[in-house]
Amino acid sequence: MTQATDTQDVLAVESTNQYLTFSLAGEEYGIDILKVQEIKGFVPTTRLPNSPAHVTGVLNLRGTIVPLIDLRLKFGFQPLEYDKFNAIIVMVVGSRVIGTIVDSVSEVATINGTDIQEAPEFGQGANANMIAGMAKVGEKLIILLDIDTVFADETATLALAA
Amino acid sequence: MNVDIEELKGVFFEEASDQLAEMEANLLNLEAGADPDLLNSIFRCAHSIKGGSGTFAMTDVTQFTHGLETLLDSVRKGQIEVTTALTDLLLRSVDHMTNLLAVERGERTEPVETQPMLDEISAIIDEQSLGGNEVFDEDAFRAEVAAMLALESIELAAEADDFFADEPAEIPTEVIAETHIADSDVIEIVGEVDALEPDPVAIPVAAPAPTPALAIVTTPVEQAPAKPEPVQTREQSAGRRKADNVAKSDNQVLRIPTEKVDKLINLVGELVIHQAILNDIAANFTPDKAPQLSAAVTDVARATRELQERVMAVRMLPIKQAFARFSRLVHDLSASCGKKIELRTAGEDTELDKTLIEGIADPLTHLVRNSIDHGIESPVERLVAGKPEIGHINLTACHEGGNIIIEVSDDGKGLDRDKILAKAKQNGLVADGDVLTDEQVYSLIYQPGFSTADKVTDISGRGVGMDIVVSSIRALGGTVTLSSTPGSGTKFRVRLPLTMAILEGLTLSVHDEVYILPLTSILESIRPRAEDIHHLAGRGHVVTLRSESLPIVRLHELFDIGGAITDCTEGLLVIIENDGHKAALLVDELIGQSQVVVKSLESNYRKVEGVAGATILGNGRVGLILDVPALINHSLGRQNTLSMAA
Repeated sequence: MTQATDTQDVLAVESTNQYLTFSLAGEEYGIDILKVQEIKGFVPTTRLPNSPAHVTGVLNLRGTIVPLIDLRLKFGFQPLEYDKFNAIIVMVVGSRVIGTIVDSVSEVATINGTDIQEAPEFGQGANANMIAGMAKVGEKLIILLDIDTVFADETATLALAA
Repeated sequence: MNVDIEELKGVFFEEASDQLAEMEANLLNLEAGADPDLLNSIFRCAHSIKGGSGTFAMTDVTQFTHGLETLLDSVRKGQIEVTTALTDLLLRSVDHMTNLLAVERGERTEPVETQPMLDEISAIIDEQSLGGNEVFDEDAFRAEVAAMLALESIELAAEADDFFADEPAEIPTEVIAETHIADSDVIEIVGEVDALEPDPVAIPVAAPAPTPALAIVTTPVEQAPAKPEPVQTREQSAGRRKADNVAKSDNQVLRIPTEKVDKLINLVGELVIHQAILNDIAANFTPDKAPQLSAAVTDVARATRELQERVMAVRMLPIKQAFARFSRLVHDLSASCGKKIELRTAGEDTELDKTLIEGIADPLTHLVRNSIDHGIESPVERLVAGKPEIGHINLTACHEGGNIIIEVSDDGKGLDRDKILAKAKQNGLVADGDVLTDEQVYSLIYQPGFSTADKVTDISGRGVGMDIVVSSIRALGGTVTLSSTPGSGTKFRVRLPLTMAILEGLTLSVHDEVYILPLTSILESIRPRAEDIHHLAGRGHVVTLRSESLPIVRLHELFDIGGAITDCTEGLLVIIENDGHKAALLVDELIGQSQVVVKSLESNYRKVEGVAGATILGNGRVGLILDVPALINHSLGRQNTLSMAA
C-alpha cells in the first residue's frame, strides 16, 4: 500500500493492489478485487427484449435480478457460445450489481503501483477511458479495466434502451 | 455501554412528527368547537415534545414548546377563548415546530426565528388571560429533565445496543414503572424510548399513580398507556398519530401493530414444526411413508402461503396516513382562495402497501389542490348557481377486486369542455375539424404544460401537474380516470394494485421464453378461428370477438423471438385490458396461474420497454412480467411508448 508514487495519481484505480484477472478473447484483463462480489459458474439467463446485444439477459442471484453483460460483445470481439466452463464475475458497480461473462477467470494477482503503466493513448473514443493501465506480471501483459467506466452505460439511471 | 444517541434522537424525531401530526389534526377539529379532550390531547403532545427536546438539549424547541404549553394551558383552563385567530396561531406553531425539528435533524439549513412566534404567543397570553406571567423556569425544567434522564438511563442500561441491533424482534414487554415523576411523564419517556428490556429493569419506588402496568409495545403511542385522562374521541384523530412519517423519514421505519407480529410468530412456529416433521420423515424414509410425506408437504405449503400473506400484511397500512394531510391542506388553501370548503373522507381504514401510500400522497395532494383551486367555485358563484355556499371535496377509498380505488371528487363547476378544447386548439394539440368524445377532451388535461387556468395562482395553474399525477400513478402500476359533469363537479378515480410486491399472474410461453402476465389485466384467452382474423391494410391484424374488433399484438415480433408460433389460429390470443382499451396478445401457450414475487429490474439494470418487472420462477430462473399498459399502447399505435425491436 505504500507504493504510491506521483506518477500513479492519474490512475482511477483504488489504492488496493490486488486484481482479479480473467481471459477474454486471448487477452488477460484485470479488475480491482474490491469491485468483485463473487465468481460463479455459467447459468442460463433470461433474455431481455429491446436491449443491446451485449446484455445477455438477467439471472437470479439468490433472489436478486442481476443483468449479465457479455464482455466480448461489449468490447466488440467475436462472440462465443458460452457453456458451463465459462465463468460469471459478479461485480458491484456503484450501487448496482452486474454480472459479466468472461472466457475464464485466471487468478488474483498482486500488482504493485510501480508496475502499472498508463494505457497508450487511443484518441477520444468512448472506450478510451475504460483502461486504467497496463501491467506486466511475469510474461503476461494484463490490461487493467476501470470497471466504473466500462459499465457507465449500464449504470446510468436515465439511459434509454438502445 | 455505548448507546448511539443518534438512534435515540431518531426515535424522538419519529415520535415528535407523530405528535405534531396529531396536534394538527386536533387543532383542525378544534375549529368545530372547543372540546376539552382535544385540548388535553394537544397539550399532551406539546408537552411530550418539550420533554423530548429537553433530553436532547434542543434548546430552541424546548423554549418554544414551553411558551406554547403556557398558552395551551391557559386555553385549557378556559382563560383564553378558542377563536379562529388562536387556532391559526397554533397551527402556525405546529409548522414552526416542524421547521425547528427539521433544523435539528439537519434537513433544513436556513435558521428558524423562534422569538417572533414566541412574542406573538405571549402577546395573546398577556392580552387575553389574567397573567401570562409564567416564565420559563429553567431550574424546574432542568429538574424535570434530569428525572426523565434518570429513568431513561435505566432503560439504556438494559442493553439498548441489543435492542437496536435486532430491531425486528421487538417483542412486547411489560414494565411496572413506578416513580415519583408524574405518570404522564413516565408515559412520555416510554414513548421516546420505544421499548424496554424486561429483565434488568426493575424500577423500585413507591407508587403514587393509579396507572395500571404500562404495556409497552412496538407501537407505543397508539396502544400504550391507559391514561387516566380521556383519550381523543374523534374519529379522525384515532390512529392519526402514526401518519406523516410517510414523506419525511429517510430511515424508513414501519410501525406494526403487535397483533400482526404475534400472528407472524405463531406462523413461523408452525412452520418450524412442519419442517421438523419433514426432517423426521426424510431421516427414516420408507416408501410406505409417502402419504405422510405428501401431507407434511401440504402443511408446509399452507403455512408458507399464509406466512407470505401475513408478511405482506405487515406492509399494509391504512390509507388514513395518506389522507391525513388533507384536512390541513383544505383548511389552509380554502382560506387563501376565499372559498368555503369542507373535506369529507370515507374508507380511511382501507389498507394498502406502504410503498403505495408513500407514492400516492403527492398525486392525491395535487388532485385535491386542483379541486380546491379549479373545481370549487367561490361562495358567491355557488350561491348564484343555486348551490350551497360550502363546497365539498370527497376523498374515498375502497377495495375492488384486487385493486384499491381512491376517488377525489368535488361538487364544483366541473371541467369546462369548451375551454379545454379551445385551449387545445390554440396549443395545436387538436386540429380544428376534429370531433372528440368527452373522454378524449378531458384526457387533454393530462398533457404536459396544459392549463386552462386564467391566472396562475400559487396553488396551481402553471400547467405542470396532471401529467405528473398520471405518470406517478402509472409508475405505481395504477390508472386514473376522470368524469365530470358541468355544473356539478369532477371526479378523479385512481385505481391502484393492492401491493406492488406480489402479483397474481398467468405464466405463458412464446417459443422457449416464459413471461408472466398480471391476472388483473386478463379478460379471457381464446384460440381464434381463421375467419375471425382480419388484416387491416397498414394497421396489422385484428381479431373479431363477439362483434368487437381487437388489435393483435404479436409478442414474438415485439420482443424479437425467433421460432414462435406466428399463425394466430395455432397459438392463443390472450385478451388483455387496460384503461378501457383492449388488445389480443398472441402467445404460444399458457402454462398456468401462480403468485409471483415482483422484483425490480431497475435496481440493478434499467427499465426495459414492454417489461414491468421480473420474478423468480419455480425453476430458479428469472421470468419477466409483461407491462400491459405498454403493450396496449403499442397496439393503439402509440409507438413512442414501446420501441419496436422487429
